[in-house]
Amino acid sequence: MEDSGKSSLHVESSAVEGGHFKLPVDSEQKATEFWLFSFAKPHMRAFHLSWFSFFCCFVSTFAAPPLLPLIRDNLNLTTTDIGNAGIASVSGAVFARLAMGTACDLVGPRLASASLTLLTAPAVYFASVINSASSYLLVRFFTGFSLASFVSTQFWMSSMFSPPVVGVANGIAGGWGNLGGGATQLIMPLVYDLIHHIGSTSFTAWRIAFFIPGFMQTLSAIAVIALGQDLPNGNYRKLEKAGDKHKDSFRKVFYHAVTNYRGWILALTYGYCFGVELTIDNIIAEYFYDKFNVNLRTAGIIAASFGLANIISRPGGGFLSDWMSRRYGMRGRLWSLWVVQVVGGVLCIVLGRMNNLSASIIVMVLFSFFVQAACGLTFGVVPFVSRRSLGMISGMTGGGGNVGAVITQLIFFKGSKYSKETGITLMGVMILCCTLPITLIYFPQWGGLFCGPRPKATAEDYYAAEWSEDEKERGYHSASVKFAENSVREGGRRRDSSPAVPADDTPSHA
Amino acid sequence: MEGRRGGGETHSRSGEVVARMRALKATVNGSRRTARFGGRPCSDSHPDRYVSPVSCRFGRNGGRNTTLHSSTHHTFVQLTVKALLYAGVDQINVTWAINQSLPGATVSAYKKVKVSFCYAPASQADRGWRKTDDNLKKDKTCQFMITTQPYATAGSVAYTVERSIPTATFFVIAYVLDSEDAEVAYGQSTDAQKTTNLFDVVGITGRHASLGIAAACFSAFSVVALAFFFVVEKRKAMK
Repeated sequence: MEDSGKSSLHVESSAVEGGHFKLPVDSEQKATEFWLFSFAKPHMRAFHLSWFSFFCCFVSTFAAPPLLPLIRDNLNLTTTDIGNAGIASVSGAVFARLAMGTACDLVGPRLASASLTLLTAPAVYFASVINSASSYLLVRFFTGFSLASFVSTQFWMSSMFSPPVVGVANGIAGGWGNLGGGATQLIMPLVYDLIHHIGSTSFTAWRIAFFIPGFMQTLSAIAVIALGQDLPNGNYRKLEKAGDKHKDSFRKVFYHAVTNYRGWILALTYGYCFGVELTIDNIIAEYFYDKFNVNLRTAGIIAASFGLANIISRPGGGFLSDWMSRRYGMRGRLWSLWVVQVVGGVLCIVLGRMNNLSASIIVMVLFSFFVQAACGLTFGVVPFVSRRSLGMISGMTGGGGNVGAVITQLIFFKGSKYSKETGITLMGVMILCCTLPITLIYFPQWGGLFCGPRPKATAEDYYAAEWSEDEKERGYHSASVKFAENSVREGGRRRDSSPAVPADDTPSHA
Repeated sequence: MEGRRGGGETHSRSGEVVARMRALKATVNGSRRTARFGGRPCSDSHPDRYVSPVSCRFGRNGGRNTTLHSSTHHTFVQLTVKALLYAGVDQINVTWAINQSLPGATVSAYKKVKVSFCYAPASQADRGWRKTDDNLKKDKTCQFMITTQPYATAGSVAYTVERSIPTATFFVIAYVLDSEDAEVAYGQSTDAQKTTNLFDVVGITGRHASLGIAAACFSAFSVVALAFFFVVEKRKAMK
C-alpha cells in the first residue's frame, strides 16, 4: 500500500495545539471514535447540536401535513392547492442546499446553519396567520428552505470525525434529523389536541400549535451558535485571522465542485433515495387513509412509522458503509450503496402492488429501512469526493435529493393521471433506473464498482489535484494532505502486509 | 354517515337499500310522478313564489329570508335560510315531512330522522375528502349533523350554524334511519343535480390579533438574536 509508509505519521495525540480532547483524534484533530452518549467538546457536542437543530427543521417543514384535515377546511383548499404546496415545500431547499454548501466552505457550518434556521423561523411563526391557498403555499415554501441545514450537518460531521467513523457520524446525524419528518406526524396532532382541549376552537388551535416547531427552531439555532464550534481547533473566523486557516475563494471552490462528475452522479442517485423519502413523507398518510379506509389517526401513525425508522435505518447505512470500508475500502462503500438502493427500488415497486393492509405496512417498513439506509450509504461516499469543495459537493448531493422529490411528485403524484398505487410502483422503477450511474463512479486510487485502482495513483495526488502549484507552494492544501493520509483505510485491507505498517494497528484508527 | 350493521341479511338488504336510493334519485330527476321524497325542484329565481305556502320563521338576525321547497305538494325537507350564513352567528330553520302516499314505503321500519349539512358539488370539486359515494359507508358528502330526532311524520329544528363549519356551499339532507341505524329513506333541500337552493356558509377564520402580534415578536427576536451573535463573532475575531 503506497500510502502505508505515511501511516506512521499518525500519532495518538490527545494533547496538541488547541488543548485536550476527550476523544482520541487523528492528525487533523478529528475524532476517530464515536461516543454516542457523550457531550464532550467539541466533537460530540457538535454532533448533538447539529442533529437536533436539523431535527427541528424537519419538524417545521412537515408540520402542516398531519393537520391538513383542519387546515384544508379552514382555508378552503383544493387537492391541487395541497399538491402544489407539497411540491413547494421541498423545492425551496434545492437551491438553498447548494448555497448552504458554499456558505459552509466559506464561513463555517455553525454560522451557516444557525443563520438559515433563525431566518426561516419567521415563516413557521407566520403559518399561524395564513388565510388562503397562496399564503399556505408561501409559508410551506419558505419553511422548506430550512431543510438545507442538512448540508451543514453533514459538513460539520465530516469536519469533526475521521474517515473510519465519518459514515456513522453522518448517518446518525442525518437519520436523527430526518426523524423529525416522522416525529412531527405525532407531535403536531398531540399539541393540537392539547390546545383544543384547553378550550380553543379547532380553527384556532392548529394555528397556535405552529408556535411549538417555531420555538424549537429558534432555541436550537441559538444553542448551535452559542455552544458549537466549527472545527476541532476553533471557529473559522478566529482561525482565519490567526492564519491557521486559509480563506478560500468561491470561484475555485465552485469550479472544483462542478467539474467533479462524481458529485453529479451522487446528486442524481440521492434524488432517488432521499427524494423518494420526502415524497413518501408527503403522500403516505393520504394513501393509507384513502386506499384502506383507516381513520386519520391510524393513517398518521402509519405515516409516522415510515419516518421513525430513521432512528436506526440511516445510521445503519452509515455504519454499513464504514464496516464495508474496513474490509473492502471504497469499493465496499460503493457496492453496498448500489445493492441497498436497488433493493429499495424493488420494494417500492412491490409496495404499489400490495392490496392488503398488513402486507402493505410490512412492505412499507422494509422499504423505509432500505431507502433510508441508502441515504446513509451515500453520505459515506460524499466526504471522499472532494476535500476542497466538500461543502459544495455535499450541497449538490443534498440539493439533488430535493430535485428528485420535486420531479417525482410532479410526474407521479400531481393531479389524477396516475392512481397513487401506480405512482408508487412507477417511482420504484425510476429508482432502479437512476441508481445505475453508481456503476460509473471511479476513484483512481481506490477503484470503482467493477474496476480496481490504478497501480500508481494515490489519495494525495487525487486531493492535491484540486490545488494549483502556486497554492501548494503557499501551503494552502495542507488540510487536504492530512485528509489524504487519514483516508488510507479506503484502500481496503491488503492480503500481504507491508513492513512499513506498525505491528499494532495505530490507535487513531479505531 | 353510519354504516350498515346487522346480520347476514344485511348484504341483500344493503344492496336493496342502495338500489332503492339510486332509483329514488332517478325518479326525482325525470319523473312526473311525484317521487316519495324530493320531487320537482322549485325555481329559486322567484323566491317569493311558493307553491305550497308555509309559515316562514325568521332567522335570529332577521333580514330577508328565502323559503326553499324540495317538492311542490309533498314537502319533505324545507329550509328557511339567508343567502349567506356566518358560522357561529346565524341560524337556519329546517322542517320536514314524510310523503306517505308513495308506494313501497315501509313506515313501520322508520325509527329516527337524522338531518345533516352536506357539501354541494361546487365545494366537492377537487376535494377527494368530500366525495359522494353511492355506498353510504364510504360517502363523505355530509359531515356535519344538525340533529337526530325520533321518527315522526313531520318535524323541525332551529339550528345555529356551528363554528366548526367551514367556508363552503351546502344543502340539507334528512335521512330516515331504521332500528339498526341504516338509512332507509331520505329527502334533500335541493334538486337531484344539487344545483338549486344551495346556501353558503362563511366559516370563522380562527385568526386572532394576538396570534399575529406573537408571531411578529418571535420572528423579530429570532432575527435580532442572529444579528447579535454575528456582532459578537466579529468582535471575538478582532481580538
